[in-house]
Amino acid sequence: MPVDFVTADGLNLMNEAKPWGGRFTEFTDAFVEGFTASVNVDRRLYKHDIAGSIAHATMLARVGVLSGKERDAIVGGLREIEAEIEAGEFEWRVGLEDVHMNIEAHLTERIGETGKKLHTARSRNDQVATDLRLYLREAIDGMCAELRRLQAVLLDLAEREAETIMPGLTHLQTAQPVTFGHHMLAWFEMLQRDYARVLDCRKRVNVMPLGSAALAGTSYPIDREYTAQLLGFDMPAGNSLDAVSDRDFVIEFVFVAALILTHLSRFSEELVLWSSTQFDFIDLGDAYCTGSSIMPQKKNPDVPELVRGKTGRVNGHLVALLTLI
Amino acid sequence: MASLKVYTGMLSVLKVHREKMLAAAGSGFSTATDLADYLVRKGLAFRDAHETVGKLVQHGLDVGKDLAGMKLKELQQFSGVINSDVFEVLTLKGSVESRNHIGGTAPRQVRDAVARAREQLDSGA
Repeated sequence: MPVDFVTADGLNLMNEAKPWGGRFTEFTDAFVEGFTASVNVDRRLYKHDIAGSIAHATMLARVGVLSGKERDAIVGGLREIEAEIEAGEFEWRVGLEDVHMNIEAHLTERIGETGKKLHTARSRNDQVATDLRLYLREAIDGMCAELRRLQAVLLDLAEREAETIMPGLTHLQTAQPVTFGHHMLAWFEMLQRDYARVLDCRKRVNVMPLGSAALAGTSYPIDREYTAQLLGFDMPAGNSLDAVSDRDFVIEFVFVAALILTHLSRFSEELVLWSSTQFDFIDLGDAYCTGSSIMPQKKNPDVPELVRGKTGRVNGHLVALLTLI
Repeated sequence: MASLKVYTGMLSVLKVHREKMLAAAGSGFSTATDLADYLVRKGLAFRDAHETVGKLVQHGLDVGKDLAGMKLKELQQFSGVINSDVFEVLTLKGSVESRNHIGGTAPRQVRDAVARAREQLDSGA
């Protein structure tokens, strides 16, 4: 339950009772509380956290750690919380640190003592690793669909412009004539490799850490095959130590994303060049350009330019992750 | 993800200025490689053909003409094996159509590649 707390600066904060507070005798410093909280970032995992918890509780009931009644109370409470979050009515509390503790604390407030049993045979270590994998799996499936839509448009363009002759350039000098359709197919091939890469990455994402607990596994008679099946994972992870510490799959995903954006950045460079006054090979629709605040004649290829900007950011994320791990 | 989405929309409405592209492709001696290949078919070694066409390009730069704009006699001053059939290889259409193999730029190959790619997408590969 929240407790009134006054910081050294005289700030009156509601300090949350911590789920791990048993061995602590002092409150967390208010600034430290904000510094260590991740809920503003990881709340986006709520759907996957709830799905993981429902599967976990279902498995615990199957092996007899929870009763059927307890499972039903937990599952029902979690579904209500999910609906509340989606309706924007959920109160996220920084004092509860992260998405996991926010949801679990609300569950206990909602259904009472049974809520405290959900975390049996589980740690936040295997919980967050599982959430992240579920989240990325969904992102990958969305990315595959987007790649396919863009590839289909490239094929339409290639077919329509199969006979259109343009200068192929090397060193920005006329090299040999090529067809514009051929050029669009070059872009298609790059995305085709990206598609294969992202599907391959999905294989390594779709392995379940849940059941590894903090790092050593758990003494409860869990059924990991069953939980994996409930969550659509291909298999449970083979080693508990590795499973809670592995983030290779995130790096791999960000690499694929960085390479896709690097490809789009290459396309962008060409679109900017082709739409310039000097080349005038193409016209980007008005809906995809912006004007100048001072020069009335301008129609700027903002969209390709901003895609290039985003590429830099994602490439930076890749280096950050490689360094962090 | 947003970048892929915005690209799909942007390329769906892309307008291509075919005439501008064609005009640009016709300058800058873009068919010089085709002429070298022509000379090879007439019996020259590729390195000699490369040298001959290089000299022709230099001549073109001096007199302000592209290869296709030169008279047959003018071309023949650089190589006796050149005949009137040379003008077929100096056209842009002839140039792209001659690259007619898997992965080549010929319109027919582009259409075949599109068909193959669509099959691939349908099969989920």
